[in-house]
Amino acid sequence: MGRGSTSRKTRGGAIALHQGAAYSWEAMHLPGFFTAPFRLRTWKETAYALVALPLGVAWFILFLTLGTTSLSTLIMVVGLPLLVLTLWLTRLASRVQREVAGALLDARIPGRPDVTASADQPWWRRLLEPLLDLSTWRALVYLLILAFPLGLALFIAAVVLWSVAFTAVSAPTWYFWIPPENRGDVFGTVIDAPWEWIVLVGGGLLLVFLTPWIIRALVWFDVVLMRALLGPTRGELERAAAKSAEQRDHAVAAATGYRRQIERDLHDGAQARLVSLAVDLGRARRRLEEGGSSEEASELVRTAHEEAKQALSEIRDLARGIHPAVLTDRGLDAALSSLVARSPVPVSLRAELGDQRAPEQVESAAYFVVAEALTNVARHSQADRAAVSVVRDDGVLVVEVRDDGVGGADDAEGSGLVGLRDRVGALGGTLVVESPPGGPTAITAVLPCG
Amino acid sequence: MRVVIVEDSGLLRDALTRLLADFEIEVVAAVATAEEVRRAAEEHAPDVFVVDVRLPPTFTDEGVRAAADLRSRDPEAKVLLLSQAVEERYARDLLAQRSEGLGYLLKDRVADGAEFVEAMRRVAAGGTALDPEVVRQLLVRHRAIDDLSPRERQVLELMAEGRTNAAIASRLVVTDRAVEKHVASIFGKLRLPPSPEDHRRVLAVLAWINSD
Repeated sequence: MGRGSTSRKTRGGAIALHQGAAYSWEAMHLPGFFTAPFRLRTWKETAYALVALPLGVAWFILFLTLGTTSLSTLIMVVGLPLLVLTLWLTRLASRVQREVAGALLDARIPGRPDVTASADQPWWRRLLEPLLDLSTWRALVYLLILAFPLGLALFIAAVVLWSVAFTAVSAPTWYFWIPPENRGDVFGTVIDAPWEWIVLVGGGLLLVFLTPWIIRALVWFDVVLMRALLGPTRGELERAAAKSAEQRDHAVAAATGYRRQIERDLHDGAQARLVSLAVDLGRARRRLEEGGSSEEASELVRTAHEEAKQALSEIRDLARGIHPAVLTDRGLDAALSSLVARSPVPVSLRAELGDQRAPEQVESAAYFVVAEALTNVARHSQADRAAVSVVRDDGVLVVEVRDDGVGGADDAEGSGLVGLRDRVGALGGTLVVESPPGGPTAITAVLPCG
Repeated sequence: MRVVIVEDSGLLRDALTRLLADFEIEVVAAVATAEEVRRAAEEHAPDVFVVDVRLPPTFTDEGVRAAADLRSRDPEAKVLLLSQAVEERYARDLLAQRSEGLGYLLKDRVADGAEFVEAMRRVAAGGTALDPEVVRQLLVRHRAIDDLSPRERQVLELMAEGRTNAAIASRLVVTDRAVEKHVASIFGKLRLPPSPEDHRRVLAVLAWINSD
């Protein structure tokens, strides 16, 4: 255990370092300085500066209203649901803010890794989970207190600096169209001396080249704050890394256990069958060599023949248990059909898999969830019928097997369900077994599939 | 001859019973677990136990432990172990105590009916029967074996399996005298004093292997 946790810490650190890359400044050398106004990046940053204000205002109004309402009514019952809603909206808003920043700035701000929520928990625990989640509250601090002033500063800086710069630079093209008596109003003084023109246009030009860097500095400050308040904490990253390391360990253990199972099946099934077959053939041979009754010998050969066929079918079943060929050749839909067709309990099948095939390991995991569940249905459930549904929807594959049996399915250590849970977990999915004593049983696996 | 079979696979239990019946060997009990074998031992006092290495509940080495248990309760108990795959480690542990009346064979050998029965008889008579595969694994562990010529090594392996000079001679298609010469040479190279009895030679070889 001790060794495991040390190595996980290291992995967590590696991830934390990886995401902490600084907001890039593109070395401020001379050509870089002069080309900034002509770069796409500069204008994307300006766009962000303009968008940040409406976003900040929206967050401010939304969360000020929700926050004060829910806090003031917290003493009554309505406050709590409202607060929970506020926090869920905080997560959503944080995501929108991060997406906007990610789209317009060279700053990928990673979201909070999914470390606390788990499908194993009851729904109300999952619902209330943000209340105790520090990073959600941190995100609220940014959205409610910082987003608005930051947006305002960015907006003002971008609008004022760019307008002043362009007004000054372009002055020679429009200044003389203004009636002479009004010319003094534009810059506070009438521009007529050559040195005044040099100062105006030169200053404007300087501002054109300086503005990108001023905006970039402000954006940098915002990105730093977003990273700190909307991004994951180090602890969360470490927990996420530990979780994925745990999943990996489980996957390795599952694979080892699975290989052991295959070896057992081979020895106890096919090998025992073949030894028995060889014994019977040997006996038949001795009968024939010793000139004994050929009737007895032919009976032995007949038995041996049956055993040979049995061995073939056992090996075929075993191979299918390792990886069914139909899954590779014809895909999950066909493989499920053959699974369902082999079930001794009548099973209905609903498969909505879309046009594109899911990744191989996802198909394989889905197949084995259904296979194991149907095996349990046949062996333990005493069910009259079962239903299999495999539906691909919005980046996940939802696998569900229900039966009307006696329930009490056990996913304790040693059961096939544990192996499935590890297999599903290794793909970042979840497996939920609902099987109260007396039934019915429902096994649901949710597998992410990009 | 009376036999107790300890084997969890019903298929193999039946196959063994059928095979032994052909050789007029009586199977007095055929049980599936290591717990049952103790009772069968008291009840039937068989000439030999045929024990699967892997038995429930954990399917690891319950059979080896059951064999050790049988032999510690009754020093006269003869045990022939059957294994899916040979593990030199198990053989070494068992032989370290005593090699009389002990056999360790691959399950596959059951298929060679007559040879299997011969090995069983040898064990029942207090001899030793080791699978050639086990012997090979035991021998590769020993560096001094490098001194032997390929032929001598063959002879040693057959000796370790518990065969007589005559059996070795017929197996290698050479004269008895040639085998005797090889045996003398092996004992010379391994610094073992020669002994007239076949069975003792095996013990000597095993003792040498275990002295490692």
